[in-house]
Amino acid sequence: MRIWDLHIHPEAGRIPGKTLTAKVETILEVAARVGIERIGVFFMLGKDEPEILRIMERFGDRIFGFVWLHLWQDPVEATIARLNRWVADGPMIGMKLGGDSGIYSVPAYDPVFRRAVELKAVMYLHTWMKIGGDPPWPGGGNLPQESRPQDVVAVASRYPEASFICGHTGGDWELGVRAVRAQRNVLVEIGGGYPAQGQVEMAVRELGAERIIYGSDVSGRGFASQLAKVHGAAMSDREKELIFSGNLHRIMRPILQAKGMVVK
Amino acid sequence: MSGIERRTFLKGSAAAATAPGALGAAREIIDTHVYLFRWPFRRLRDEETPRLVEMLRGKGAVQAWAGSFEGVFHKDLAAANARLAEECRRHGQGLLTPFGSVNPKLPDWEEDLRRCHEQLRMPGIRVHPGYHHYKLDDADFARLAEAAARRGLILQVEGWLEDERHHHPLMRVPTPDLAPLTGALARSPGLRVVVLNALRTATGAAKQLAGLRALTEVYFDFAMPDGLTDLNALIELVGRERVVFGSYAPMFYFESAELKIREAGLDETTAALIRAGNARRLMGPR
Repeated sequence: MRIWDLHIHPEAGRIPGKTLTAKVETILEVAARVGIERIGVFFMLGKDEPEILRIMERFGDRIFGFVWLHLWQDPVEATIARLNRWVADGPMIGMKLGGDSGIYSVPAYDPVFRRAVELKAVMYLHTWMKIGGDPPWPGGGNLPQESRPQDVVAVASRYPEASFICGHTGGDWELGVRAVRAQRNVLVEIGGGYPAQGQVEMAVRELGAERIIYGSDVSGRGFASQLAKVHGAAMSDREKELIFSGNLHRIMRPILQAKGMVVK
Repeated sequence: MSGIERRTFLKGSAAAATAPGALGAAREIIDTHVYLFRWPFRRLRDEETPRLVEMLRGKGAVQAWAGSFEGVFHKDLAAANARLAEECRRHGQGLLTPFGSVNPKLPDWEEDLRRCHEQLRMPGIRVHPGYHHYKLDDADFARLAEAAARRGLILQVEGWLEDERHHHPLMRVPTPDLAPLTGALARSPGLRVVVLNALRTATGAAKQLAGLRALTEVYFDFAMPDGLTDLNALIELVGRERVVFGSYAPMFYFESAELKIREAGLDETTAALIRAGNARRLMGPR
């Protein structure tokens, strides 16, 4: 069964390797050990940019690159410029927004999503619904600039022709699945939480296997716990294949074609 | 993970990747960390004991140490423990070993302990300081540990049951600090202890582990530590003789613990110790 892992962070200090390249090599070797063929890598821009380019060149047959963007820290024009540099004119095929990247539904950020849709970029959007606040509510414990699945739905509703990936299934997945259920162009990624029995089964039941993507969130998580959510789930091999790689391949196809990239 | 060199981490065999069931079926496992009965906030696929036993057997488990979700949430622990023992006897097919719950903050907890040992013939007990709402430096917990040591029981300390970020809004349970455990156990020499679900990451708990590993009979499961290199880090911090297999089924997919062994690239000797050898030695002759 072909397995692609959408969601990898290579920079963490606890991944063995003294350089970013060495860390990527480590991740690829462990990925192969557990049966993963390709990985989506979320690259943080900064001092390592020349090395990122070299990594993409060297491991292009096993890595899909995503540029990590920020909505509230940077002017919209600068964010779009990064998108152009790394996706339109560079080796990456998508963008990632993280847990401190901004509230996606804020109208001022819309030009970033509009440009990403124009480029057919794959859009990975972190979400969580942390319990917190007084009285406690799901999302009340979020960081000030951390989006919820509802924010993904708000953006996705403006671009029905595009696909959006709701990262972590909203964290509290029993709520996240419900939050995105009616917005058919939103897919959920299952990585980043504990391997609680039932997560993927519920998502299949409520969304259909075509709207679920496997990702791990390495290095914050391991491959093992996240693979287990699919390997251990009660579902058909066909559904597992969709989740492990088929769906990601499907939503990548437009940008792969646009960039002339061939993935067998 | 700073202590683990890349060469060390990668030296494990890059075994051909197969579905996890294929690697589990032929290798013996003692799972020190499973639960019976219902988790109150969600139905679990394998919550019915016969189905759990079938799943465990299919994975190669020859023994599973079973606690009770009733023992987490009920006040009548004597009844909960009796049901646990009966369930293991009736449906366990020789696989399930009951570990009753004792709450040292309840009146006459000593009688619960006595019944677990003398009446229900359990080899150990499981405590839930988070859900039973006490700290590990609590004097009553220390007394319980001493009493368990006198009886020769294994003490399983359960640190965590559910992601704090997902708790029911009316039941937010703090995760207990593991640090005082070392002091509490120091008064109970010879007590065999298994620390379950107490480490979010092994690297993050290095200081806590440093004290505990000095105690000769403390073991750790790895259902919870979840970073890419956490099982390797745990082994490096506490030694391969102190790590036992724990799946936390049916709350977690069993395949998670199973795959962590492959992910870590362990040599066969270490893997065999962790799958069953350490738990077998810990349990000893019965």
